[in-house]
Amino acid sequence: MSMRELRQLTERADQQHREAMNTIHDDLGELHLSRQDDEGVATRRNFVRNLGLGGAAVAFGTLLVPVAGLVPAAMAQTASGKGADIPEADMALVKFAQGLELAAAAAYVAIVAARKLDTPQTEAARTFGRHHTEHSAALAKLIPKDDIATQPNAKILAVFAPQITDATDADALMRIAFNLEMGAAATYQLAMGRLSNWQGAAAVSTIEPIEAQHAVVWGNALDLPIDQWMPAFQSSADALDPATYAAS
Amino acid sequence: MDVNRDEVRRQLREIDHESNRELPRFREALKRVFDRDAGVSDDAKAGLLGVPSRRTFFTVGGATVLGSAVMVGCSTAKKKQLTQTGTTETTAAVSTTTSPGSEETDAILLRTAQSIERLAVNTYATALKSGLVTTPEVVSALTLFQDQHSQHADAIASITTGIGEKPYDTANPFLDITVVTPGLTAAKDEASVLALATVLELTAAQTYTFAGGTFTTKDLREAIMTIGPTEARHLSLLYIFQDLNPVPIPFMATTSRTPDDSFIGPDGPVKIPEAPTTTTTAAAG
Repeated sequence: MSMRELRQLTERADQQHREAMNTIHDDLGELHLSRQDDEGVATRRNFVRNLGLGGAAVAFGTLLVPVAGLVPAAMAQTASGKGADIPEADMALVKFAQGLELAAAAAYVAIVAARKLDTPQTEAARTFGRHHTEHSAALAKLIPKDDIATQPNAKILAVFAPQITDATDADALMRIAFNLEMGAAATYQLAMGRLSNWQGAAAVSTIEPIEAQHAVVWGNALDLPIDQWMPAFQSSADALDPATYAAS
Repeated sequence: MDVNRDEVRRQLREIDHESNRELPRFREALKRVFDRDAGVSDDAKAGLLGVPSRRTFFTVGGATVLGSAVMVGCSTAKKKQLTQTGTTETTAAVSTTTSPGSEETDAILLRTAQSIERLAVNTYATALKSGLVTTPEVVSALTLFQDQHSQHADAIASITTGIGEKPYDTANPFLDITVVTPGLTAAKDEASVLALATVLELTAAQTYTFAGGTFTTKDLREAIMTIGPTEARHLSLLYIFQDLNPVPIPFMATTSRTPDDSFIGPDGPVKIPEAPTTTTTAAAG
């Protein structure tokens, strides 16, 4: 294979990635992680907080990017609202994931509303809740307009809501958040093994690592054994199976 | 930041123990059973590895995940893969969209990923030996990362073999020459080692995300994303060590994936740059 052929292959892959997955993720990546983002990094440093448990000093930036404004109109959500051209079974998984994300966002709202977290913990919960809202919005771009969930997946929320209500302290709430994120990451890993079309897989590939990162923050803050939040391989063992938790 | 050192050491011992116990089993399994001509069914192969079925591989922790990653490649071993392009449904949502990847890019990305894993192993080994990393928690974490990257390299090698391609079990020369060696040479303290590690992990994490949307089969996509999230986890812990936002963006980007020049083609690295030379100016007089 010549270098030219190789470049053509990868350029095609890059191009299709950007066209289909939209450039939001890359735009965000450049905005936040560019080496030229010294000012942004400095800003984040100003938000260094101590989560207060396990001595974990964790910085949470307040750099918020209006996600909707970065989503190109040509993204998978077509003008006719038909959604992405993906197989029906894949679409069912994408819809499930969108409802899961809304449930996760709702869970974080409840966690914050319990008023047991300290300020940096609350800031983390709000940030991660926003991430889940943004995940839901991104997944919704793949779904036909009429099928986009507007309410959290009730079965998933029913798992976590009573736990949040019963939580007596910040540790208990962060443990719930940790379990939620571990479950989300595992669910996306499960989806990776089921999605037959690359478009759904490409979307999941951008989201799954973020849920894993959320879990690291809570696991570390709770001072849990590192093998609980830093496994060598992502498992789907703790997945919320769509067959069990499908929105009715 | 609090990473319990004793706990990390305990985990490393457990990992070593588990590897010592499991890896020979996998290797033996590969030799005896996953021979393409052996005619062993997928279910039998799954049974041998202690997993109930092909679709429920990822159920019992890291060792089994490694086994399943091996299986993903080996049980479908053939030189020519069937590209899945999303045309499997005949209902209203019929797709005509083809995958952005190809069988060639599958192999290229697997070899390249393995080379990045080997580079990471070497980088952490050198950094840990340098004496620059002094914070016990950081030492423990980097040691764990090194071990996990080694496991990833082994898993990717098995997957690569499984699709009928030759693994590339050498540190990526392009990234080594252009990024790691200059970075390690210039490193003066723990902070600079952490910065270099961050670049490596970010490159790895984004390369896996890229692969997750590029591979032509769901088996490959599933297998590669057993690894991608772990690199993202490494990244978050490195951010925490550096007092940076541990989850700075809501989506894993691909702009910082490994560059095309670092790819490992069928004949080896597509580009090996010249090592940067140090220019010294002779003192006047």
